[in-house]
Amino acid sequence: MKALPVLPIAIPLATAIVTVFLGRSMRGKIVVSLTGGGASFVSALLLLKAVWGGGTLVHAMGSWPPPFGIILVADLLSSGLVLLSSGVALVTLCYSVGYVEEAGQRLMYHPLFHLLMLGIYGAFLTGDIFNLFVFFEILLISSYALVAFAGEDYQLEAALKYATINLIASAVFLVAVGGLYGVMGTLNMADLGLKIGQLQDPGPLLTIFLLFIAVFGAKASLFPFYFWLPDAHSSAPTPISAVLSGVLVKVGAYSILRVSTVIFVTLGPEAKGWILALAAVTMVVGACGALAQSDVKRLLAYSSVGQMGYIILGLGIGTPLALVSTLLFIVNHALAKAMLFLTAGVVIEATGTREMKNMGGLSRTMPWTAGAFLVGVMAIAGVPPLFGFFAKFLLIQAALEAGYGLLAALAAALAIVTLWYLFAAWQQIFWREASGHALQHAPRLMTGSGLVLAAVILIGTVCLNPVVDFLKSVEAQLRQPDAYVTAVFREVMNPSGTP
Amino acid sequence: MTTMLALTIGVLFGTGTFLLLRRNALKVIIGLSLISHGANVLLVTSGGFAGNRPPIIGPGGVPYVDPLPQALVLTAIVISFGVTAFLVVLLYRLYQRTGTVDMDHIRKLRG
Repeated sequence: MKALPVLPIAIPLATAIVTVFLGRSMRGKIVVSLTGGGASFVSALLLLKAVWGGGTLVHAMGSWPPPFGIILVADLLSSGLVLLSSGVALVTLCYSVGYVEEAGQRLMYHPLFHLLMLGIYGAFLTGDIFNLFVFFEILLISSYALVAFAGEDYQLEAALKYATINLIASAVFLVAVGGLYGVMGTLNMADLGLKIGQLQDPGPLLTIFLLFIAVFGAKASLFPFYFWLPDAHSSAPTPISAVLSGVLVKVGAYSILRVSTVIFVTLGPEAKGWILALAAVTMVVGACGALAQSDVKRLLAYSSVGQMGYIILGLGIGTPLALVSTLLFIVNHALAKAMLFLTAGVVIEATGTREMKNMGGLSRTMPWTAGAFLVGVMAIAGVPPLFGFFAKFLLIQAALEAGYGLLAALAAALAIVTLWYLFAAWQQIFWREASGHALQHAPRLMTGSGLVLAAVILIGTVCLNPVVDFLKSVEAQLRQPDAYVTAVFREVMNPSGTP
Repeated sequence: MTTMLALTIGVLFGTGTFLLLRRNALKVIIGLSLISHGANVLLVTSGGFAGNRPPIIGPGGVPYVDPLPQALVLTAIVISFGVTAFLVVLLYRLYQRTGTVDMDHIRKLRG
């Protein structure tokens, strides 16, 4: 029970190590890897259940009490995101078994995949800024290697761009951490939140906060740090594209949310203008970029940039309604974009091309895939019965209530552009005249994985009320940074952990 | 001492940024590692670096310097070493396949 927050980090680590040492046995690697993925998902479920029932869980690594030791903090937001990403990861892992060629699976695919997930779960769970940096580096270096995994020229080039921009971001992260430590003398998030409240003169804190926004923006593809994303997400092997677009960019959004609600509570309003402006430009750039694409994976990658703009817009507005809509956006985009990449991968496998103009008429031969893709298109575009619609609706309502009429109009206009390019893509791939190409048979496992995510989206739509109620309690918890601080320091008062 | 360190940090960031803007990808990688060094030195300085003082509490309460930033920098150095090594291998692979390290010639992904 006490060790629950460690499990989502320990399980992928163990799986990665075991899969490295399994040598070249492919069957063994697949079995261990899927077991590890399943175990991560189950541990995330248990974690969320424990947090939901018993409040924020804190684990001091090596029993060093905060603020000296590194702590893991699982509140509703962290454990919810761990559950979401471990679910997407599990489905993607099943898909990978059918997708990644045998040589790759015999080599390092499975260990790298689990290390990537380890970094993601760790970033969600850690309660220490420098530890966040370390987990960022773990997830980044695994994802560089995975983007370049098949070793084609364009993949190497995308990985080089991706690694370069994120290495600069890492250096900036260190500068920001150094500045923060120089001013505050601590790096524990809860301790920072406590001390910042008592600070007389904010000094360079606004600068430090904006440095953090830039660093996390580079992960969350905020304008002007987005340009690596369309290359990296479209060049990566398809299951990795799904994880990068579905889960990894959310780590950036989560970190912005975390530092602005726990640490820089007092600075929120001053930096708001910056965040809103960058988010608005990101939305425009993503939508316009997607309009111009003929390659299906590039189109989906640009659409991710646009959707991240919406997510960060919600963070910037920052009213309770806006935060609920942002969280709904994160859930919707994680599931739907991962699913779109997976089904696009099935189509690419079947037709042997990524150009949408060379596809066409596939709804007759691949009805299930066409249906799944349509669900994803409707979810991202925000067509009424699906919860993508409610996310956009709530966001526009929140913007209007907070007095940002112009931003609300922009969000609504770009929602129509999103609708346009996504339906145009669906129509080009599945509707028109058949192109007459001979179709390859895509493995059942790949089609099935896409359908599972489509089913989850539909179930989520049917159970919209419980989902929104849950997100409201997440948001209510975010509103009380004091509760976060108290939960962390209860550990110091009472190290044995008995309440 | 602080002025000296500030100048060092400035020079490291300046040359690093200059090299980042080159077309030769190898120079970009060198620039990246210079910038990482700059960030590391800055991190050490932020803990109140004071020349000859040790980062441990000695006998009889000898004045010591905050050890935390130095521990952080060790981690950061190892990480940037690993990432730089990966980047060099990546570039070497790209060089083997395309025969150039000029980004203008390598660049195929646009728009």
